[in-house]
Amino acid sequence: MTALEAEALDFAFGERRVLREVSLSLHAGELVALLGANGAGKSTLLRLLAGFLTPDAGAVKVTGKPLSDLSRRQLAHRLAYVPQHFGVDPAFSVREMVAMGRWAHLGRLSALATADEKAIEDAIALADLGEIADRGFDTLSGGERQRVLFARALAQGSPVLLLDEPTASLDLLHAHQLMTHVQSNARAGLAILVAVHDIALAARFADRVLVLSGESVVASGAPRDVLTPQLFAQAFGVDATLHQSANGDSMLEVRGATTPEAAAR
Amino acid sequence: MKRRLALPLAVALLMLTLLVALSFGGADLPLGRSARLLFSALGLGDAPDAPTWQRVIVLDIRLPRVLLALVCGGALATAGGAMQGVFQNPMADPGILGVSAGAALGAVSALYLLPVSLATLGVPVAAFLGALVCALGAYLLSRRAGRADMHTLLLAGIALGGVASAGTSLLLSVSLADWEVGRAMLDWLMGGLDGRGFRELWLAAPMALGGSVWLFTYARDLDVLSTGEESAMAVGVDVARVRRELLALTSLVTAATVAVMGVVGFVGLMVPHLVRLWVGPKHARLLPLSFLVGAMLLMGADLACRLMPTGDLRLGVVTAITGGPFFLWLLYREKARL
Repeated sequence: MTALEAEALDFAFGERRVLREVSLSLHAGELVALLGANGAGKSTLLRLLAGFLTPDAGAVKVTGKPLSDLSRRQLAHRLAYVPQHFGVDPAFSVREMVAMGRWAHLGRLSALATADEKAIEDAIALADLGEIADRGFDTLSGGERQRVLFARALAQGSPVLLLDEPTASLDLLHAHQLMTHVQSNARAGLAILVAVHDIALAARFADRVLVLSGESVVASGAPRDVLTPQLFAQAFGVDATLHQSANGDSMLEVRGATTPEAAAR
Repeated sequence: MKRRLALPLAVALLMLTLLVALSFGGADLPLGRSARLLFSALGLGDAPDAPTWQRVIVLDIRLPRVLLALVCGGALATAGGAMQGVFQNPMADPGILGVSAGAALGAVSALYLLPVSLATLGVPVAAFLGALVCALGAYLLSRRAGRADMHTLLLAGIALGGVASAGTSLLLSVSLADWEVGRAMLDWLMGGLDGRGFRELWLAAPMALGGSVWLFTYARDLDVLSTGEESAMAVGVDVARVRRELLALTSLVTAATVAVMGVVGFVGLMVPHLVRLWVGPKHARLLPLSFLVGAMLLMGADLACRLMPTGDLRLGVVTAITGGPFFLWLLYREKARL
């Protein structure tokens, strides 16, 4: 079944058009990386899919239901969203922050049930937060905070997961670990769309990449088929080649900014 | 100190404060005597050796006033804690939507327009309505495209509060020629519990107490809301609706307290802060403890007023004199942390 489906989304911030006729579909068990240069509209697309923004035209369906028919609570049961940051640094402990992922599962006065506790502990373990579970969120580093937000989304237990640059402030090891966790969650049946900057990381882990450029999706498919030198020149303005070994290990060779002649080739 | 012990400790301290507040004043009684009188009033045991004058002082004169301080202090602190969560702003105060200024205008208008015989009931009712008109006005003015923008809401509250204060000043200056009316107005504006009794308690308690308990049930929403608007939406909170409900509830609670005791500042601002330093940001602990500490603070402040032999210390003055320096300390502390 299609877990997440967007059809011909148009969106503009006032006069400035960001997305035009963007369509995509995401299936259960699939890890898709969303690529694009700065300002290509990756975050905007994720925010449209998460219901924070309303498209000017087009529609989004989450597990078969139109987004516009779902309450926020119903949506939270189907879709979890991890932003880059929230701009607020609350003094809640890591465990308390992760527990907030269960909000949509709880009644107004009900305490955490065993299933909730389990979801919280599993998410903490999976995001490797066990040792800092009792520390204050406001005392954590940027990378630790991102892992907390990821754990909070996992605790939500929704079939669709959207992540906006979850590895942006992670070191190499934690970026790799986080993407491994993300991948294993996809293998376990989640449908995951993740915006990433690091193309080699995306190529290493994603089943499919979607490339945004010039207001729309310019390429979609397996990393090795899509990430060609022509695409790098078109979407990123660089002269680059992706080298990938048989087991998926990826390396991006960047030779420099594209010259007009190279772009034309 | 263990956070788990905070609640039982605060309840015990509240009981002690209650007994102290009942025992001291113009005439001092032993704490045990007040306790026995209180229990006898509840139908638990008897206080046969207490003379009638003690019974009258403790149960008829002090008890309603002390309970009113308890309920109003607790309600203001709870409302303040909720407001700070709604606005994600530690400087938010329950009077932020112009509730206090609106109540003042309502009360002063009633004193200006109504004959003295109607004032005892007319003033609190008018103050209550004034508070609600101001809060609702600020809310409606700030609505754009179906939802209230928080910055506009704050500004609208400040603007309406300013207009209401100007109206209050105008009525006051017009009335000063009539010393009795002017005095009554000033008296109300300074805030206090002098002469308040069971009538005011029955007027304010249902809404102040019921509203506070109702606010407690929003603890989890407030937790999520205080991590940011989008953060709350991401886990399923209908932010616009929850905010609307919380604003309505806090305004009702605040209006009920201001209506019976006038404007008593700083309680709603100071207490949640103090409690947050003690037990952390979780509203399930923060709100009930704020209620208890706010109740103690106001009972204590009112006791200080009553103990002043000349009777010229006012409740609003006591809370502002203690609250102002606290606020400054808080500012410096926040600055030091940056």
